[in-house]
Amino acid sequence: MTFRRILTLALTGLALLALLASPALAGKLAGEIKLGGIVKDEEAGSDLTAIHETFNIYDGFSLTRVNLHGVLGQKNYFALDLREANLDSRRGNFTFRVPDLAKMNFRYRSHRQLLDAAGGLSSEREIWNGSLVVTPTSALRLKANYGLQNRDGDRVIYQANGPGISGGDYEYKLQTGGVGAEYSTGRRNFGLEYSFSDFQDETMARADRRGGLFAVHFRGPCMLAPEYYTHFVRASYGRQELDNLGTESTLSTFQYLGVVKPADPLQLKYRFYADRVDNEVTGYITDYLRNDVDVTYRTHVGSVFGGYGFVTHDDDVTLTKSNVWRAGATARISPRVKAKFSYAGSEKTDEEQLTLLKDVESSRLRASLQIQPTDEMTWGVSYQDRQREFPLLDVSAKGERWSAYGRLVRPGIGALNLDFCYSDDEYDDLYGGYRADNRTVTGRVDLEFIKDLRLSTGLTYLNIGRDLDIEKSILSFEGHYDLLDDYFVEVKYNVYNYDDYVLLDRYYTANVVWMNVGYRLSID
Amino acid sequence: MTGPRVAVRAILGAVLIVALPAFAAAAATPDSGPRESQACLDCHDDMEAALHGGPHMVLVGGEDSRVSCTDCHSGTASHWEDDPEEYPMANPAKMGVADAANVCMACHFSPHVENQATLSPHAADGVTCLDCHQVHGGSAPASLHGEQTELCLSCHIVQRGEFAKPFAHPVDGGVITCADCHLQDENQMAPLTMQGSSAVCLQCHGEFQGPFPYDHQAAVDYSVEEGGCLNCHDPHGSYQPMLLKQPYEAPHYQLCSQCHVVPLHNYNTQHGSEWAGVSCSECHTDIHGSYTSRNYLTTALEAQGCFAAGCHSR
Repeated sequence: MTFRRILTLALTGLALLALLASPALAGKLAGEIKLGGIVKDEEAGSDLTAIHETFNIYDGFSLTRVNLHGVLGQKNYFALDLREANLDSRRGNFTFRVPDLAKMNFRYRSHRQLLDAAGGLSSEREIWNGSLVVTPTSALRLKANYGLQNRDGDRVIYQANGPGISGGDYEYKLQTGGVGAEYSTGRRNFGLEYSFSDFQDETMARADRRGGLFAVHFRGPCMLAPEYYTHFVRASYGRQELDNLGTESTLSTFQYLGVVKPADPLQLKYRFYADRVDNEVTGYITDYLRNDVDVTYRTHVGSVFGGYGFVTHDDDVTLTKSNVWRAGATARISPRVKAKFSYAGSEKTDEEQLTLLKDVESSRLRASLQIQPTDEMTWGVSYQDRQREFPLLDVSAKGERWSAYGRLVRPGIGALNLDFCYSDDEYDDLYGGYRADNRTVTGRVDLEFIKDLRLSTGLTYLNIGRDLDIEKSILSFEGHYDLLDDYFVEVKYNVYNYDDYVLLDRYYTANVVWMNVGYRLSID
Repeated sequence: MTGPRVAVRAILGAVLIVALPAFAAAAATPDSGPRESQACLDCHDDMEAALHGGPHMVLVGGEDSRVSCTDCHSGTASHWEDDPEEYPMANPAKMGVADAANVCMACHFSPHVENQATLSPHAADGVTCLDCHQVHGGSAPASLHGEQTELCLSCHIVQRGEFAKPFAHPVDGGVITCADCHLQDENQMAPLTMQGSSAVCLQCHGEFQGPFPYDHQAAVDYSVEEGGCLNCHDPHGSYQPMLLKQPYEAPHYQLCSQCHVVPLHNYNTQHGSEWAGVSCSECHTDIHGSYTSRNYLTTALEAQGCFAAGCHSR
């Protein structure tokens, strides 16, 4: 694997050099290149479920960032963004656009997650994505995409009695992709799409599977009232099968959305969704039907909205029906004061009383206020309450969250950001209860009043109480200094701490230093 | 299954046959028209620097380009020929959400932009395309105003607190970004796949997708139990390992016991109190779904005779 990594880095470097040296680069180029390194010192307990904050940070040299963007030839735009390229991780994104004709995008990510502080256990995930959109005419759009994910390495064994059928290792490959075509004329858009997935697991052949899905959609004005009424229709058919077990399941969907705007401030929406899953394994055919109606009224001082939905879920054996409703309002009390309020609730009834959870009731309430007393200062508060009950099982889950924030920006001097969040969650069932609350404070100060120098410091602190007793903190110091006209130096130091005072083996502490030297370029 | 396969191939073939001649014709014949961008830059000279190196830069001044300043800033020639104050050009930055999205959608026709004009929660909250994207310049991917995660969390303050929890998806290190999970299937309706919202999770955690011969209904999005990954996991951050919503081990078992009332595990005539106080996960290891056991039991129990006929046979 090391050879492949070095080869990947070398090829990336060569491609970059070739790009920079290309005679086709007759346009403009801008961006920055950063090189540096990381020093990491950490200590953790032997309980590997305490996945530490730093499992994606790697000691050693790093091509920290290459960000180049500009024009090739007369008008072809490109953007290359490489980050954190080292022997353990690297990620990159490349976009190339030929105006009026095509857009290509390639994305690559690879990370080796170090699952214990000593580096003895690790898991690597590598993801490739590519997409191409071709617009041969303004009306026709052809698109294709492909993704490949490889995962190798150790799986953290959470279960005391062994890793289960999934094993103690990862070694699988997941391929996904698709092709599609869209034709647009005026406000009408028609499209066809085919997508596939293929999963191959080297550690367990039984898990191998493949699937495909074909979809078609149409969007356009209604012939009866083209100015006021727009349709969206979509349908699909797909299947998945386990290669080596010979079983499969199929899915078919039909979706309709109608949007009516009889007058400018008023909008009405009707949504219908239906799907059927035929699962050969369970022998069940599950039908899901949903109808939703929503109304929104907007003015320059705010908006009011409300909606209702009715859902049925039927798998031949059980039938559930749900009523769903929502309502809310937004208000711009003045150009500098905004308020929002929304409420949503649902009530599910199990007609046969055969599902595990039987009836379910749930609700969510949100409210927020944002005030901007001056151009430089913003602050706000928000509240959220969530409740879910299974009344026939005597089970309930309740949670509330309070948050507040403040931002102060002084151009040429610096900025201050302060966030606070408090949450309290309570779960009760037949066996007892579990409750945890959490206070999180995050703060950051940025200073830029000294020429060419930017300094920052930040703190994240959590305290989790009631049935748990956990503390966590991250303290950060950063500096950025511009040298000459085009060079800069960056240094960052983070201190991480995590302590579980109930499960004493869950702890970690880490000191990490990043150092980078960078060059900004701009070529005409 | 042969029928649908043949149909799919036939339709795709037909599309390609129709598309290829059109592709060749379009490549050979640029769609030209009068472009006014250079005239704009003669007065708005600060815009040239703002556009430098940005994705829209190439579109100004090109005689054969299909897009120019006036495609977003519509108006009449009176603006530059007579009085710019009296005849102002349209400015998407001052438009409503849907109108601004419609300007962008003239070129960027995608579910993301389309959704912004119709159903997106961002649109409902008055957040326009320009609140996240820089139109004239910008070197960040997708021309965002800043690093994606920081940009999102500057408004989504509750999520900032969730990501700070002890166990969280690594957005802080940039390993994944908000858009890796959100904005993935933004077509105006429900997801097309049978995993529903779990489809987003299964992009990376493909080993849990199934279908399994023994599915756990709580993990299957389309089940009448209305399961899915989010039933048990908090995707942003959690106090519990594996991003679990509630404890899965002693002394709390709420994650399982909220749905499963299983008093026989505390005492039964076969085992006595042997399993009382033992974490569910010690035996039910394949909780996402099993290829071998209807109770998702570990094969390690086989050696103890647990799978004998009349007991926990498969």
